[in-house]
Amino acid sequence: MKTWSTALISAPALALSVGLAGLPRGGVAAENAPSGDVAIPAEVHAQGEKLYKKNCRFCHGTKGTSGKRLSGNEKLVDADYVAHVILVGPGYMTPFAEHLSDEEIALIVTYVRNAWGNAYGPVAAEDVAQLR
Amino acid sequence: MKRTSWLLATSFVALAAALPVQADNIADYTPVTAERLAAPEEGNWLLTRRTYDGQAHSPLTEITTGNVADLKVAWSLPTGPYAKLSDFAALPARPAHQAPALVNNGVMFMTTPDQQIIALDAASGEEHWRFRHDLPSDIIPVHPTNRGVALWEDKLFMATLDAKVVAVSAVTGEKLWEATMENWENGYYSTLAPLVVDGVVMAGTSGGEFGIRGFVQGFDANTGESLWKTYTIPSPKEPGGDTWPGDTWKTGGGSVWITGNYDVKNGLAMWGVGNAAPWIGDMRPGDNLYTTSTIGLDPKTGEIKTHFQYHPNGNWDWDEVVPPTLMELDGQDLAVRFARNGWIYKLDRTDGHFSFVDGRPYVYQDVFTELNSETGRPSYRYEKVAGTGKRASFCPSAWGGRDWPGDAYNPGTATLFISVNENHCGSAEGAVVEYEPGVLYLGSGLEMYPTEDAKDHIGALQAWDIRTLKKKWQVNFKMPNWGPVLSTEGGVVFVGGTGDAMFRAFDAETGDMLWSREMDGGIIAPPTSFEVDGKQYIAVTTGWGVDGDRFQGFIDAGMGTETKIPQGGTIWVFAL
Ligand code: HEC
Repeated sequence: MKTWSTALISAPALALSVGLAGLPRGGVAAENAPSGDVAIPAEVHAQGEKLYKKNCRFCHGTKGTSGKRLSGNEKLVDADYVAHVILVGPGYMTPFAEHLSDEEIALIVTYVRNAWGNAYGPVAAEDVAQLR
Repeated sequence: MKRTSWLLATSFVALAAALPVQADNIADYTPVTAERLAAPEEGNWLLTRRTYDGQAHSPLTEITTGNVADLKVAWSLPTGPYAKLSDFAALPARPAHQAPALVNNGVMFMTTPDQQIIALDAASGEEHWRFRHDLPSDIIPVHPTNRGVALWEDKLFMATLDAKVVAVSAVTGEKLWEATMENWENGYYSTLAPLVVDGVVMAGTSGGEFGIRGFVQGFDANTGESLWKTYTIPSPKEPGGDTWPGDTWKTGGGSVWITGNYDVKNGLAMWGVGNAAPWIGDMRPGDNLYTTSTIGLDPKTGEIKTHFQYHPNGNWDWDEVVPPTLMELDGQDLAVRFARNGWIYKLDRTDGHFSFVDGRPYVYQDVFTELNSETGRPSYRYEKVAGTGKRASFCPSAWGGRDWPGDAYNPGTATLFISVNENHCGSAEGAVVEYEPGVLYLGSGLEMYPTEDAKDHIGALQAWDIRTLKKKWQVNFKMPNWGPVLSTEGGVVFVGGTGDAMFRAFDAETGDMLWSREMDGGIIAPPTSFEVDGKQYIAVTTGWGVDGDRFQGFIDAGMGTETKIPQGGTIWVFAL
């Protein structure tokens, strides 16, 4: 199982695509546990939040506590899993593959993994691209 | 990737609709009166199920079992171009056509999922005018569809995906008034056709999955003024309020999304009420009136005069929104319902109150042990009831033995025809959910799986003798059946409903298939029949999507198949 640490490997691409320049490359524990010390730039967070509210809120809620719970959901540790879910839409979830770009999905994945007390670190657009 | 192809296929996403500027006013439009609605001329189809009793039976006899094989296309018309329904990137479902073609003395009215009304010449298909209700750009319709208009005098009424009722001139297509039922941002939306009784336009809203508080609302047909609003979930002060603990009634669901029938003799509008929210019963201990019930209300005041609840403290997302089909049989006034929960309920309504007569399952159902012979109240198997943190599986799945597609009843032979789905089960486990206005409020996931027998068939058309409650025949389809049924006095029953996009005609007495035709899309809209200049026509509109698509998605996931169902979006009219 791949974890968010793939995001570290591709940090330059990430910085390019979602404007994550200045993201700390060190200090993030590459293990399947909330690290709690990943600083997601406010602007990236805000972009992700906007996309989340538009595309995900009406099923998962503003706080990630509706429908399938995203707040405190340990499955979000696996960034590839989150991106995959967004692409294909399991159950009655909408599949977004045709409608959101890799960049947009990366912003959303980064947001849900680091909002509401979640702290699983960022994801890069190129990681999303690999899952298509 | 199962549904991506469907989304790709949709033509709704990007088309901008330029409505024709030229509107052709309808000369000599025949006003729709109380008398005509109560006893329509044989050649007309003025209500969604033709008559107030909801029988969907045409008295026309030109098309018979002997000649239906010669049925040909008289005309057809794609209903587009369509408006973009939402700025949302990916609609949760393909928009579906679910409206019947209403016909009033040669004028046909059709609606589209993007909230258009089209007025046409019923014999030629020539367009008179189009009206479109514009939706807010940020709305995300979870059920992008519309189930048609209601007619009254020289007006038409449509309920909209942003929870409004709009009145339009039948003659010109101009908007006359618009009334807001509720704020769509809080999860309220309408897909049903309104019901008009004596100048009162009644409608309700969907949104049970968002934890709305359901209602039926009555409006003055002339002005749009709200006359009354009756909640399907009583407050603690009202009768039935004690069936909801604490504040649960405020977000209790009970949506109303299928047009009611009207008991003319007793003056009762009969509306079906959806399931309770959240889906898991232990989150709202009690019977939860009037969810999963039929309520009979006075159209003048909105007062609830009688009710019957099919399964208290519901747990399986079995909406009971389809009203009972009403009939008089051997001197008894009956209301018969094939419930989404898989059982048939035969109710007496002679004195204007429901009383239970008889019941039995029409598909395999493993939740009820029995219906109480006096009250009709079911007893549940404990292990079939999910709870918070308690997993349970049950048959049929959330989509039930039947969903919303309407049945049809031939009063001459006391036979009811219904599209059913069997060999699918579901499971659920409750998880604590917080209410947020406009956000899903389910309290569980939605799981469905086809059983081993699903390899044989899932969909079926059944014919039942209502006198004896015995099944006369059943025709199976490998694919699910989402087709509303049309019965005709010529002894022919019409139904689409399968993903192979077939439109079929059956012998009402034997179930033998007499005619079929592959269409440009799957059919989930109700077929209707009408007459112009002495010629009988059959009308139906293709346009697959919404729940038919979702259901197929789960079947495909369970069977490892990939089914592509053509979307269509065309009015088809047939004649000999
Ligand atoms: C139409 C409703 C809907 C929308 C819109 C939606 N989801 Fe979902 N989501 C669901 C459902 C239902 C599930 C559970 C699916 C299943 O049955 O496995 C789910 C599951 C998930 C999961 C997996 C959780 C787990 O525990 O396995 C993640 C992550 C997720 N969604 C994120 C998102 C994001 C991010 C968006 C916006 C891009 C989004 N969802 C939009 C309904 C939705």
